[in-house]
Amino acid sequence: MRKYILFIFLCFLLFPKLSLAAEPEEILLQEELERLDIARIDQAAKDMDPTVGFGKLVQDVLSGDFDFSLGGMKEALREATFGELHTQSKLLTQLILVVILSAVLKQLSDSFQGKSVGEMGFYICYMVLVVVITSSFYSIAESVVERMRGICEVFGTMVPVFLVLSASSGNFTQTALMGPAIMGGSAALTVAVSRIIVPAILLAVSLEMADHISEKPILGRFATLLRQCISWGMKGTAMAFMLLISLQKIGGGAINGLAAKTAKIAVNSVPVVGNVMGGAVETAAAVAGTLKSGTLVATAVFLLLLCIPIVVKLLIIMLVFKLMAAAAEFICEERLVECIAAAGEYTALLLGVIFLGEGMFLFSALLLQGSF
Amino acid sequence: MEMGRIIALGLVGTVLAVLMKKESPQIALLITTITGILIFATICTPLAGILTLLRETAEKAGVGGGYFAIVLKVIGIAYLTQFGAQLCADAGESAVAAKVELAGKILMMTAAAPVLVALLDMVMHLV
Repeated sequence: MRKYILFIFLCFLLFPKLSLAAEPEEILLQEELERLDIARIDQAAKDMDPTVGFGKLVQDVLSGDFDFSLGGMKEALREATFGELHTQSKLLTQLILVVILSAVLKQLSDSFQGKSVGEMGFYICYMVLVVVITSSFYSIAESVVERMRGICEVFGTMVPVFLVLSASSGNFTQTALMGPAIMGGSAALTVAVSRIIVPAILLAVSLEMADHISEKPILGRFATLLRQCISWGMKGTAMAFMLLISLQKIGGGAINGLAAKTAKIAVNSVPVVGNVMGGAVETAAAVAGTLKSGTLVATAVFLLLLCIPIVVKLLIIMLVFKLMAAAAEFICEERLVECIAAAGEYTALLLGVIFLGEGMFLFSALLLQGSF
Repeated sequence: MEMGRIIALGLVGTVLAVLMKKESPQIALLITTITGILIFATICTPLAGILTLLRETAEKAGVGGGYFAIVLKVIGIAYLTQFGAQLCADAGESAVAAKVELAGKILMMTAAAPVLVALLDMVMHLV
């Protein structure tokens, strides 16, 4: 009898069992990355021609190959700067020529007793200057609107990826609350920039130029009021958006923590396989967490790379206008100098629009993906 | 040396005009006009050099010749109008001087018509 029991026991011990080993983390990460369908983001950003694709950035960050000294970005910055300087040299030359000719006209007028003909000549020089500045300004404004639209579109394709990663790491309530708010905010920003802010800036520029035609101020205060309204409007929009997202982040955070802990405890309490399942849940959460952090870094770098060309363009154009105004101050009429200086200030406002959009998107990505 | 010649021409013309004014104002006016024309003719060559330099700079920079040519034309019309109006005023004919100024302004507006059209197009685009 004892022999039979021993024999049966040995059979059980020697019976082949199925055993499973955990996959290496890199393979898990790769599989999860493929499921996220990041190629759509690169497709959306194709028109803006970024130096590095989003998918490659995420891969590099996760594999540790990403160069945190941002050598690639410095190279992009250098290329954009020199390219733009060459492009804007035409604008600079046009401004210089008009300024010199108006200075010649002023000198000619001063040498005669009658001023009325000289004044007429000045108005014509002023009209030429306005045409040169305004045509340049319109093309810049169109570039700003196009770039903002493009960045919003790219961010729109990024949000579903962020939501999936956020939900997979346990932030269910946050995902449910912040997702619609961010999508809505992004769409509202596109409309606000293209239909309200940029047209208002163009109107303010036109009023400012019209004001400087006459020696007496006629529309100066109106133009200043409009500029202040635009500035306040932009600051208010940014603050309102960030307040909304921050409140949702704080509100969802407490509930998320409770839900995640409850899930772990519930899984661990399953008999026999509870520990194994708990380990699998923790592994999955760790993979999602790693992907989230890697995606966050890649998002920040990618958004910066997308906005570098337009920011460099605006900075150089602003520099051209301000330098020209400073250089022309001692040779030509004050009204012309004021006109050129105003163009520089409104270019700075357009730069603010880009920073507004970038700031909002970066902040949204940070709150959605960040672990706080 | 060029400046010396111009100063000499101006002084001679002024003296002659003052001398002839009492005896024959018409000849004095003629002398003043001729002196002005001669001085203008003297500075034409350096002025042409400056204009050629500006034109070449504009072409090198790829700036559209249209606006630049218009502004130059306007400056030329402004100078000639003021010169002519001044002469008429010196002769005591202020009414004629005013007409010359009016004609100059109209010609300047005509020359600047393309700029005006471009500006109006931009404003319409904004609206």
